[in-house]
Amino acid sequence: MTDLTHPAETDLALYAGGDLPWFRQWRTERHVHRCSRCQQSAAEYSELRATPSVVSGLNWNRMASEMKANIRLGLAAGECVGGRLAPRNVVSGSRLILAGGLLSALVAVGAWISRPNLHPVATSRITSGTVLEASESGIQVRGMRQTLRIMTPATTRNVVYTVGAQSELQARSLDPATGNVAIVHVYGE
Amino acid sequence: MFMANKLLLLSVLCVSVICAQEGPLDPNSSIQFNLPPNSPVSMMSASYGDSRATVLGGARVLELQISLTLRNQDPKRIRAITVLISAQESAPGGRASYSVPTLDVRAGETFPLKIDVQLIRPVQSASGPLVQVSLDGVLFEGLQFFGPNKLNSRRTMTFWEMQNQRDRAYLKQVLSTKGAVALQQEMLASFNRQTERPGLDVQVNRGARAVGRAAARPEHLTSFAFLNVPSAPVELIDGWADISGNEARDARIHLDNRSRRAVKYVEVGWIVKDSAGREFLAGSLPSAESDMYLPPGQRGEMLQDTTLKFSQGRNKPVAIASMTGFVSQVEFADGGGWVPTREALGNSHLGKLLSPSPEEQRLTDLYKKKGLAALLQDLNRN
Repeated sequence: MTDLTHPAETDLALYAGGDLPWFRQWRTERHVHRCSRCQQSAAEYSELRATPSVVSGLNWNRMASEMKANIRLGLAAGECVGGRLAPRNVVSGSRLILAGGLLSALVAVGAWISRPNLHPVATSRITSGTVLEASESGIQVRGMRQTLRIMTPATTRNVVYTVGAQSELQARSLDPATGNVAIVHVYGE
Repeated sequence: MFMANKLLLLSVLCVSVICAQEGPLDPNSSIQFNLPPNSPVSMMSASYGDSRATVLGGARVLELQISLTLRNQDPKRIRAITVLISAQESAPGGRASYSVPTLDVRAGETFPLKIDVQLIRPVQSASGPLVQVSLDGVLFEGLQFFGPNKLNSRRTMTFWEMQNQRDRAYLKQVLSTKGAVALQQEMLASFNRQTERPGLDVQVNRGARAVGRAAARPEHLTSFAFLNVPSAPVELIDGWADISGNEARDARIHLDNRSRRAVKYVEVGWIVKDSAGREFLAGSLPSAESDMYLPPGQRGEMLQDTTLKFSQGRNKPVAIASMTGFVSQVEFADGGGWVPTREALGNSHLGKLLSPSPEEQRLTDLYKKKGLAALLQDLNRN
């Protein structure tokens, strides 16, 4: 539910550095795991942090411009997909009481637990009750009592999913860290 | 009544949040690594990053970020590796594998494996390691294999490696005969194929024929058309499936072994064409693991008691107008294998529908990120 809105760019930047308060960090992480665009943004912020702060010949003005442009691009992209997403909650008038906030967070947690992913792209349902599902964030096998999900690399795009007629799902992606292809299978039987 | 329900909901949620706990994970008790005796790889290090466990009501959510460094202890080069990840091996709902099919690891060299696993299970579960990571197989140069092979990873990795060798040899040939510019064009064409490849969502219902089938309306048997793939050791003779709207059931295909070697496994690629004439690679039909043994010159049959439902997006069923099958993999009883040649793929429209080999995907990405010089360096290594 609440996971359908994207975190603010500032939150993503703070998240990348582990500087958010624990609950916002946790919630943002949940979202980032499912949203390729925010994964990309967070990865870029992480890379920026990893860059040495003292670099000779660095054009700071240009860098600032590029960062602004990136943020604008991200916000524009967010607006593009906004039609599919719930509108961001804007609190006006009296502030929400603490219980209300708590309730929203709990509903988010409940929704997160009850729904396995946001955008299933392939599903295999086995008569035993086992369900195989692929989403943008990973590939999973869901049984009666437990769910096992293997995540695709965080900054990966263009994941190729294949369904085998013998109850298996395959996700193939490139690991950006090594450049190697990683292939994940989940099995229904 | 409505107010009472809201209060009840609020109470339940408040109890849940009180029960929610988060904490670091003890990797020693949570994760177990199993390397078989005489394993050709040894573990140099294992780290767990931000692995954590959260208890939410009656569920425990485990997020495991496993980074392994393995060393090749064998004199031969490693080409691929598969590890089995199991949460509860004896029951459905807990088995997966992680493979890297594009390795080139010499003797004594190390290589990383990074596996992110999320496991949701009841708090009241059996004791013992929550997740087990086991070596299922290692494929060396020359298609030699080591491992328990519980997941048939030998066959899977062998086919990947055959495709890899085919495409790597093809690209090296393009480079040597036509030059770097032609190689660049090949890379761009491959990249375009990968991005333009039409996607199709497939839902598989296994064994869906049992209940209510007798009462169902008459099915529409639709014959497969077959693409002749040159040099294929088996020939697809005839076949059909029950088609109803966007569903295909119980595919059945007859095939002849026209090679001189006994065949133990065949995989048939399945192309679906919709009413608008668009074609999609719908998946693959593998022969049953245990049933197939086809001596030279003999005829066999492949059956799948599954229902495949095709759609684009979540609510756009793809009505099946026609189906085409082609031989995509063959394994012989003597352990050898066959995959279509590059020429066969290029001369048909299969190249546009099939996903690239792992090696072609890796090289395309290398070219895209690091340019022609890096690609040439990679292709020129021994």
